[in-house]
Amino acid sequence: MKKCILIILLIYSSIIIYGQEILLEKNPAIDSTIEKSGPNRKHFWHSFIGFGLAVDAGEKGVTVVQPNLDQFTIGYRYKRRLNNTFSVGFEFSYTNYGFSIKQNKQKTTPDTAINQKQRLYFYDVQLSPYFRINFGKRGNILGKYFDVAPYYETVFAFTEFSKYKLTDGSVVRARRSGVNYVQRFNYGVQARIGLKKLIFIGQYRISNAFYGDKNLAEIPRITAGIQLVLK
Amino acid sequence: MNYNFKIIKFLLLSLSASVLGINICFGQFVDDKFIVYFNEKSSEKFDAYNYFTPKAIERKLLHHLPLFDWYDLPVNEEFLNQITPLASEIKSISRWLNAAVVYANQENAQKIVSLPFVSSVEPLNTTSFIATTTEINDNPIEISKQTERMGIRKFDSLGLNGKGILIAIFDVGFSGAEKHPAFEHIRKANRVNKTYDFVKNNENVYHGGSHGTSVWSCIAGKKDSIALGLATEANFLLARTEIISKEILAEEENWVLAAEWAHKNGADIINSSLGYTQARYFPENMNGKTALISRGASIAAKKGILVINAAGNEGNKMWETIAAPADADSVLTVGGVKPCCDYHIDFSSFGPTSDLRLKPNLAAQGLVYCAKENGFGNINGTSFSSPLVAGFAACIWQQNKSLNNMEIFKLVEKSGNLYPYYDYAHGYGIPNSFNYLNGVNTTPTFDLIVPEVSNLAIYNPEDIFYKVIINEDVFSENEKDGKQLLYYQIINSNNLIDKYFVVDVSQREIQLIPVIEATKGKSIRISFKNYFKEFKF
Repeated sequence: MKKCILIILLIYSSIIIYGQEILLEKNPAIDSTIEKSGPNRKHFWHSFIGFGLAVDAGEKGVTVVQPNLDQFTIGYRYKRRLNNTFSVGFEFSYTNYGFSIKQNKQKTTPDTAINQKQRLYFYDVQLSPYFRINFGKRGNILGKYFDVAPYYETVFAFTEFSKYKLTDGSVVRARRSGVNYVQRFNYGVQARIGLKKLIFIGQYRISNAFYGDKNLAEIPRITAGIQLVLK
Repeated sequence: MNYNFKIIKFLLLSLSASVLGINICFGQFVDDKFIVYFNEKSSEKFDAYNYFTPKAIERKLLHHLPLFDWYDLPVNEEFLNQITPLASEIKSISRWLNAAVVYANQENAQKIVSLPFVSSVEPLNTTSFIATTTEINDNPIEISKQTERMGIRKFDSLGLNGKGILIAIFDVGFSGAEKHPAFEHIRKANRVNKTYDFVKNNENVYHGGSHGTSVWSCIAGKKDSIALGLATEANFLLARTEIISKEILAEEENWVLAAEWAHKNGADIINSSLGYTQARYFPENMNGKTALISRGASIAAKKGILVINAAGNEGNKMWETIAAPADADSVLTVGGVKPCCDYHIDFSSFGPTSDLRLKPNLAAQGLVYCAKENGFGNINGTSFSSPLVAGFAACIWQQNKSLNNMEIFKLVEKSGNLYPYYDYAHGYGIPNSFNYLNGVNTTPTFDLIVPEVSNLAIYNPEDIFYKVIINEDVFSENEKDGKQLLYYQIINSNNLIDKYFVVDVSQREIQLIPVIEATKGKSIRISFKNYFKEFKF
C-alpha cells in the first residue's frame, strides 16, 4: 500500500515538476517491425477451449445417455507456418470426458448394477501433433483450415460416480477411483475444420478404453464438438 | 516459357484460393471468382467525347489532362467473347485494370489462363472492411465544432462552399438520404448528378445502410441552417460499392469500377471511407502497390481525381496501421482527432506505410455530429474525418480551379495546423482556412534550450534534458479546453521519425529528451501553436 502511494506521488510530482503530461508517445521504429508471431505468421501460439459430445452410443453393455456434454478440453496450440497453405504444429491439452451410462438390463460396464445415475469420468492429458491445410489468400488471420491430428493421451485419473437408492429409501452417492480396468494410455485421430476462431472437431479413439481381459464393453469412440480459439 | 510460368502461377494461386479450399473441404462444387487480366487492349478508335460526360471533358481541358489515355480504352470485345463460353458469368469489366471479373470452375479457369491474350488469372475473394463505427448517444457534441475548427466561417465569408466541384462518395449505402432534411438543399438544387449501386447493378443507392448518409452529411449536410460539412454547395455522385453485414464488407473491384464510373462522369474528388486489412493483407502489404484497391486509387489519382480516404479505425487494435487504399501514395489519407482537442482519437489508424511514407496525411474530427437514417446524432470513426477534409478540399479547389489534383493535395496538406511538422498519428494536422490563407506561423511561440556543455561534466547526462520554454505571451494558464499541446519528435540520421510525442503542457518549461539520447546525426522537431522549429544535434 505504501509502495502504491509512493508510486502515485512520484508520478504526480513528476507531472508537477516538469509541467507536462504525455498524451501520445509512439515509436514507429519499433512499431513497424514485422512481427514473427501471429495467426498467419511464422509462429503462432494460442489457447483454446472445447466441448464435445459422444457421436456413437458405445457398445451394448455401456450405452451412454445422448445428447450429453461428454467432453471438455482446454489447451494450448502451436502453429508453425510452412507457407500460405500448409502448417504443422502441436498442442497439449487437458481433457475431461464424462460419460453418463444408461442404466438398463444390458449394462455390463463397469458393472451390472442398476443405479439411478452412473457416470464415468476420465481425466486426461493429451498431446497431439497436427498437419494443417489452409485455404485462401488471407492476411494475418487464421482463415479457413483443415487439420489432421493423431493424438496420444494419458489418463491420469479416473472416477466412477454412482447414485443409487437403498431399500430404506436413502440415496447414496459413491465415487470410486483407482480401478484396475482403465487403460492409462490412449491414442486416436482428430480431424478439425476451422473458420477463423471457431473449430469443428471430430475425434476417433483407436485404442480401447478398458483392458481387454476385463471383458468390459467399450465406451463411445467417436466424439464431435467445437473449439474456440481464445487468443 | 512465359506460358508455362502463367500456368504455374495460376495453379499456385488456385491452390491457396479460398473457394477451392471450400471445395476440397466441404465437397461443394461451386464456381470460383477470378480476375482475368488481358495483355492487350482494343485497337478500335476511341471517341472520348462520346464516352465521357461533358463535365469530365471540361475537367480534363481545365487541368490540361489528355482527353483519354491507355487506361480509358475499352477491354477488347473479342477477348471477352472468347472467355464467355468458359465463364459461368462475367461479373464486371475494368478498363483501368484491363481485366474482367468472372465466375468459372477450376477446369475452365485453367483454360482461360492458357489463352494467348490473357496475362494472368488470380482468384478473388471478398474480404472484410475496417471502417466500423460506433453510435455515440450520450454527451452530444457541439454541432458546428467539426467545421468551425477547420475555418468554415472564413470560407463562408469568401463564398467558398464547394460550388462547382463534383464529389463522388463510395460507401455501403445511403439509406434515408433521399428524404433526409440534411440534404434538402441539395435535392432542391438537383445536385446529385448520378447514382449507381455497383453491388446490385442498378441506380438505387438509398438502401444497404446509412453509413454513406452520415458520410455525405459530413461533406454537405445541414442541420437547420448549420453546416455539418464544408462543401454544402458541391455536386455529387453517389456510389454503393460495399455490402454490410455484421461489419461493413466490401469488394475491391466494385471500388475500382466505381472510380472508373466517377472518372467517366467528371468527378473532381472521390471520398471513400473504407479500407482492407488483415482479412487479406499483412501490415507490410500496406505499401500502396499490393492491394488491388490501392492500385485502382492510384490510377484514379493519375486521372486527375483527388482521392480522399479514411485512415481506418484500427489504431487501438492489433492491426494498428492504415488500411488499403489509404496506403496509396496519391491518396489523401485522413486520421481522426478528439473533438475536445487536436490530438489523436484512440481508434484512428497510425502510419507510416510499410515503405515508410507519411500517412495519414491529415486529420479531422473523429467524433462528429451528422445525419443518420432517421434524424441526426453523434457517431465516431475516421469514416467521418475523411469527408470533412473532402469538403475542405472542395472549397480550396473552388477557389483554384486551374490547379490539378496533386496541387490541391499539397495545398490541403499545407493547410494543416501542424504544417510543416507532421507525425504518423496526425499527418500535418487538421486543415483550416486560416493556415490555408495565411500560411505557416513564423512568430516564435517557444525557445529551445540547449544544455550547456559545462554542465555535462558535473551532472549525469541522463539527468540533463533539452528543454522548451513556452513564450509568455502565448502560454495560457487556463486553456479553454484544458489542453495546450506541444508536438515533438526525434528524427534519426536516416531522416526518419524514431519517436514522436504529444504533450499537454501545464507549465512553460517542458523537458524533451536527455542529452544522452541526442546523438550526432539526430534532430528534434517541435511544434507549438502553429510554430515549428527543427534542431540538429
